[in-house]
Amino acid sequence: MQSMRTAMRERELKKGSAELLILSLVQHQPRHGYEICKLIDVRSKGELHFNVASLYPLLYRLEDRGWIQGRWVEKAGQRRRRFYRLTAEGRKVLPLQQRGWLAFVEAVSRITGAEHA
Amino acid sequence: MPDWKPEIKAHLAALNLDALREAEIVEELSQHLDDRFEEWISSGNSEEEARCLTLREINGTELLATTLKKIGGRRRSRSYVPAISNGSFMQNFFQDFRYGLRALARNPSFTAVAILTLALGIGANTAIFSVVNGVLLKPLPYRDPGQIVTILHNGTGPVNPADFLDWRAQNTSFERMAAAEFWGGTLTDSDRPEAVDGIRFGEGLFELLGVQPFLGRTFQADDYQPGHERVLVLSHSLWRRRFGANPSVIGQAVTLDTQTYNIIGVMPRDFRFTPFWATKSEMCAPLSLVDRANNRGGNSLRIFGRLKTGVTRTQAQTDMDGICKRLEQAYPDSNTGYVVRVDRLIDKTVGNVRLALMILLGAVVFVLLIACVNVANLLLVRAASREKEMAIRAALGAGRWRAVRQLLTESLLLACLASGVGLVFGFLGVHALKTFLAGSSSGFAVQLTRVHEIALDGPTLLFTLAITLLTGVIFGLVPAVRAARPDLQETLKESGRGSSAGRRSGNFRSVLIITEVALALIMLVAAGLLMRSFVRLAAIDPGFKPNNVLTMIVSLSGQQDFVGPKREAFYEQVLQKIEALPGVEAASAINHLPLAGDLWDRGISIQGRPLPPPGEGIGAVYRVSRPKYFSTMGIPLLSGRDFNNQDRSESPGVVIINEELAKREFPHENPVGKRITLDDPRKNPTWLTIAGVVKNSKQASWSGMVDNEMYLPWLQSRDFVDGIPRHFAGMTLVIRTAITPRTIIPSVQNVIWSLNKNAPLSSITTLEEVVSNAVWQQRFNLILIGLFAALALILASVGIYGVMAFTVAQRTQELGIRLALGAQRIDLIRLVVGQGMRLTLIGVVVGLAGAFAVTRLMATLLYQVKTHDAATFFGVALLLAGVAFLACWLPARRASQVDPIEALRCE
Repeated sequence: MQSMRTAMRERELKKGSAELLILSLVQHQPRHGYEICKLIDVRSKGELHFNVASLYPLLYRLEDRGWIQGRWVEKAGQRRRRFYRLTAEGRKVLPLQQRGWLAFVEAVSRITGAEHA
Repeated sequence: MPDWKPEIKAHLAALNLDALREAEIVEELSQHLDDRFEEWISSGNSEEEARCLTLREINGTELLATTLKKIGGRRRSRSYVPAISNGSFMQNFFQDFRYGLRALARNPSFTAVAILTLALGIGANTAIFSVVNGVLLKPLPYRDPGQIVTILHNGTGPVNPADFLDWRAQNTSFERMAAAEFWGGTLTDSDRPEAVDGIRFGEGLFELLGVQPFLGRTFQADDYQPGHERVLVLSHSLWRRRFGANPSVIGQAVTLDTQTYNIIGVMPRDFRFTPFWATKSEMCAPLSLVDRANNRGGNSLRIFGRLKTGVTRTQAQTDMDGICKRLEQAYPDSNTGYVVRVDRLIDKTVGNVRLALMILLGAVVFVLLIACVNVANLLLVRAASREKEMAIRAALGAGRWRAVRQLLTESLLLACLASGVGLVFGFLGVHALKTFLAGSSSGFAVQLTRVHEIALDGPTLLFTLAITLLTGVIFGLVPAVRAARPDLQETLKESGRGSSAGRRSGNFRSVLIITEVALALIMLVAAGLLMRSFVRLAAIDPGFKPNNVLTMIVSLSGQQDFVGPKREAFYEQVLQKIEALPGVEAASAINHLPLAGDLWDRGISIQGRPLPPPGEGIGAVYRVSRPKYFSTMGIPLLSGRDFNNQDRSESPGVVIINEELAKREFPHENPVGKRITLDDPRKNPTWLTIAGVVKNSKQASWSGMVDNEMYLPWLQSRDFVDGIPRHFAGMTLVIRTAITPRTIIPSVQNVIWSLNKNAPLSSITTLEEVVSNAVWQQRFNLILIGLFAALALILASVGIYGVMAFTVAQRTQELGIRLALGAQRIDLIRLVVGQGMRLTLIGVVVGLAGAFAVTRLMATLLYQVKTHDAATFFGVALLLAGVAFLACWLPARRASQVDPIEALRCE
């Protein structure tokens, strides 16, 4: 029961924030899927975790909306990889998402904080 | 490393993605799993454990398939594989179109270069076609204009009233025949008197042209009766300018040369008559020939005819030849050797510029072809880097035709974008051409006829559309067919460098270079010939010094109080006061300025010589001048003296002749002191003593031969001293200045108007402008062909450079190996330059042969230069070879700087 609730919570949280996470991670430099996955893992200290089944549909959806763009890049001596970068449109969307998320977090913490005060 | 692909494919199977998309997803996800697998291994798991842990990423949840499904449907349309048919024709077209746009946007520098190159070609074609269309192709603004002909003496000369009336009575070929006569006068109703050109319309001329007036009516039978009130039909432009486009002008009386005329009509805006002569006419009045019906001497009429239905021009010519024969027998004195020519009005109007315009059109087509060749080459280069893409498509089952279509859509898209930019160039070009062709404001020279018809209109836009589609196909087809048929085995076998492009497209690229060089060479030869011709023209000595001379026509026409002594005093004072102006060195006047004014011819007889047989008399150009005309113009006096103020009507008549007349008629004697007459020597003539001989000066045309010429003193020419009609009452002032001639215009105007406020001034210009107008067509040809040839040279050299640079880039590895094996850098340069120059030389040979054939058409455009002028051919070939050498040498130098190690590592 406990684990199911945790899974649900995680999914809800992810759903609200996943897009923002990905957009933020490719904001300054193009990254490939595995790199994005690892960064989320490391920077959240293991609290958030994506796998193939959750990450890639999200990437394709963002690409489909035109917020990010994937491109195959070949490097000497390596297999080609698909790197995602923020598009001009994505660059416009990102601050809106960030503000929205902050507003949400603030609202939640005001409510929960008030209960505890 | 385990193979994850079957596992991933199993998850995607239900999505039914298209093949290429699925392949991409599988590749991307299996990489991710590889990375994850390695991570598990490095954290100490066994291979089997790592495999299981990794597979948990995609197993145990259907999230991947379900989430992908949501966007899968939408993705399908976006992940369209170009060149795989999967819909209706239109669907495919829009897909191709969208894909094409994206493909162009992906490569902005390629797209920009291609669009700019094509736009230059398309713009040049649009501009020149608008001229060709306006001048040559648009029908003249009359009813059924193809049936209208001109009937003129020798095809150019005016006709006398008696001959015309005989022709009209005797012919069987014409539905109608009518005469027109040049005329004009000074409108003096407002503060500013204005000299206006006009044409007297003979009976039936309006009906012959078949045009209706815009306002009011044209002439009726009784308007032609002598004694009937004077009536006037205005042109649209005069009506707007002088009468403020006021519709109530009909019935209004105006004063023209002190006589009252009633305005009865205004012609439509696009009506202009005639289109080839007296083109600045802005009004017409009826022409009555009643009192001149037996005059076979005064040739002043231009005759127009409308052919009967079914009668050809040749038949009409035969008819007219027969009539002329009969008249010759009836009137041998006046009509011996008299020949008339029947010409179509359109030929008469544009005959002299047709060839030049067609050659210009040919030149811009060449420019466009070179642009196409360049873009085709760019596409080939691009296709080489897309060969793998095409091979994969073919492997996935794309039909060849489908792939060709995709690539052609891209080419057409490129052509359309270029034509958008080209239209902007075209618009600017048309504007510049019209400004140039309308000429200076001098009003002297009739520049290109029908300039007002030139516009970027419907037919021109259609033409642009047509050449756009055509160029899209021309430059796109070969690269498309080549790229769409990749040799699968070879392409997939070859390394990524795509050297397979080498042989196949290499041959094609060689053909492109040869074509480009050949086309550019033909253009350059044409431009070179025109330039040499123009240099010869510029070196012609007109016989006078054109620098620093202001000229203008001052007219006293219709001013009955300004005749005789009063007119004499007027000119005397005008010239004196002008000479007193600061900056003026000398001033004089002549009836007709050389090169700009009219040309009158009079027969002369020399005292003591037998009468020549009919038709073989001596003729000479007749001019009337004031004293100091020769010194003001800078025409050297070879012997004798100039006119002076003692050459008056009461003193013995004198004449000054030109060198040509002196040489022809007095080859071994001094003509000064000899006597000639303009009258019939049998009928108590007035003898004129030759007072001087002056150097020849140009007469009607800049490059034409100079004919006999004589000058009579104004004071002894009664017609000029007393004449009321405009052709006698007007004189052209010539004023030599020490300063820029145009700066004295206001003070000259003040001088004239202070003495006679009703004297209109017209054709104010400088002698230099007159000279430059005289060669406007040659200059026009030279400037445009020269411009297009320069464009061709630039495009061709850029093209050669592009091909050579690409070839060098492709051969980097080979060149590296050569260096590694001990070749010297100079050898590499020789290798690359040699390859380019070999193709260039083939192109030069082909081009020389082409130029040899093409320049023959230009014979009539050239002056004292042969169409096969060896120096031009050789010089141009050398120039082109030099430029091509540079275009090859730059990439070659880069090739020689290849680092062999780096080059080999590229593999």
